[in-house]
Amino acid sequence: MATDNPSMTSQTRDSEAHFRALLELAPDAIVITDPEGRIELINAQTEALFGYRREELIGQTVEILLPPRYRPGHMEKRLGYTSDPRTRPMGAGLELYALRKDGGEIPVLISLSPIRGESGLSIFSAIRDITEQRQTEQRIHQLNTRLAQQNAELQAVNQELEAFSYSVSHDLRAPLRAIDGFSRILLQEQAEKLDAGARNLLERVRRAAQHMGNLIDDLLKLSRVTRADLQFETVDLAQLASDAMEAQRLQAPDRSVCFICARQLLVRGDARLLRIALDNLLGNACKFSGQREDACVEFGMRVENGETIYFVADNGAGFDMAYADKLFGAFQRLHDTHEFPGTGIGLATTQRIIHKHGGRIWAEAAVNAGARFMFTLPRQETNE
Amino acid sequence: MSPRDKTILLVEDNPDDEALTLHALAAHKISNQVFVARNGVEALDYLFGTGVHSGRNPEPLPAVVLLDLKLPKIDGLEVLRRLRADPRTQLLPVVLLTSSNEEEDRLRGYRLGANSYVRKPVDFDDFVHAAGQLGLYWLLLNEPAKD
Repeated sequence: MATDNPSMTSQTRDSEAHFRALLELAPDAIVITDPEGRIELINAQTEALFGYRREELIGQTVEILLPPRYRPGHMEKRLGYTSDPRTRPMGAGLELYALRKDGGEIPVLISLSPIRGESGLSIFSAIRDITEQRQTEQRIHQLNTRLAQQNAELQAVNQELEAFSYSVSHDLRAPLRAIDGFSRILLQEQAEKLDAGARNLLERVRRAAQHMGNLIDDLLKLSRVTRADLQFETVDLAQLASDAMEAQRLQAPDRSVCFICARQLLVRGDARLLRIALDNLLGNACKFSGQREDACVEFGMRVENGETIYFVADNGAGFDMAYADKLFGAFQRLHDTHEFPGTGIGLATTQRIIHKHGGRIWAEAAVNAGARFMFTLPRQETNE
Repeated sequence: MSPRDKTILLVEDNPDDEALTLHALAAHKISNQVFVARNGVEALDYLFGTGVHSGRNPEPLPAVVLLDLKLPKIDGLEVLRRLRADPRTQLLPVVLLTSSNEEEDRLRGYRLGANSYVRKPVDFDDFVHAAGQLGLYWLLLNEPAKD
């Protein structure tokens, strides 16, 4: 027997003291009840959590720690538990509240374990205060609700914009067609009644109508880019550039532009939007080198200070760096329309696309010494 | 039926576009009779001999229907849907003529059974060219399902 061996007894005593200390200092409130449901043992955290001194609780039935409305049900459960004791871990899905001495209630998680003792079945329960957790959960719920509301509002605004743009596209183009069409018919059928001056005026009317048509198209593209959700995928930027160059070649088959394109440049991004950006940049490069016999347009990449920089370069008209900050403004142009036609929206659209990808775009140039447009696409992690 | 006897149904609510289209067809010496319906309901009445056109024998059907998407009362896509739902007009060539370059409109049009989708350009020369191409193709080249 253990008591016969003095060293065993002292070992057991040490062990017991050790475990009592652990129990006493446990971070959860511990309550051990006897087979009749009376509190046998508690720890420091129980005193702190419930606001009782130890002496006030020992010998009391455990229901004292519960709000009155739970007590009848709990007693029933307690009796049922002793006939089928099972360990019940915390968070078994019940919304539980405990009652403090001062009458306040606290949300808690409770775990239960049966302990077979000499006198029968004791119940060991650990109680955890989850007030803070509850508050955090509520806060998250509130934030989520607000987020959902804001999302719904944004959706509504986007839909309105979509409808508006659609309307603009149809309704503004129709009268433009009339302006251009009837002017043309006048020019064709009433030619003998119109002198050179009159014909010239009508030509100007037609050109203005066509310019407005281009403006509408470009504005629509710009607004669509702004509203678009990025569809991230792996894209070969060099292939997109090569396709855009081919499109440029087809548009002006009589020109002989020398195109240089990098081989393969895989990036993460929205293929459709990146193609639009490259169309704009390469279209500009071709347009502004239109006065050169030996026009040359290049698309490539270089690494600078650990950053990957993509560029579109040409050897055309360039621009004065003094006006560089106007480059990307919508409707801003740095050249005369009759020299180089355009709507002034292409670069604004390109900038929006690059910014949407989290990148930067800038340019370097000199008058009549070509231009170089550079951009970055930093978001390259595959979990984007 | 000889090409000259074939008719064209133009469904267009905008009188300017109507005038320009007729002009464009004429510019290509297309002198076939062009009937103009000014909204979706009128177009369907014409093709089925109902409503304002009851009493009219819809046969023979036009060689092609030039159908604008944006129409008052019943819009172009709905007209198309109903034409495709009726065995009499299921195979009738329909060309969607519209300002819209929206991909969704194009896809919807084709899915509903349009034969072709042509954008109305602002530039009148392009417009004449497009209209001429349409006329020549549908009147002269295309082999209809039934004669």
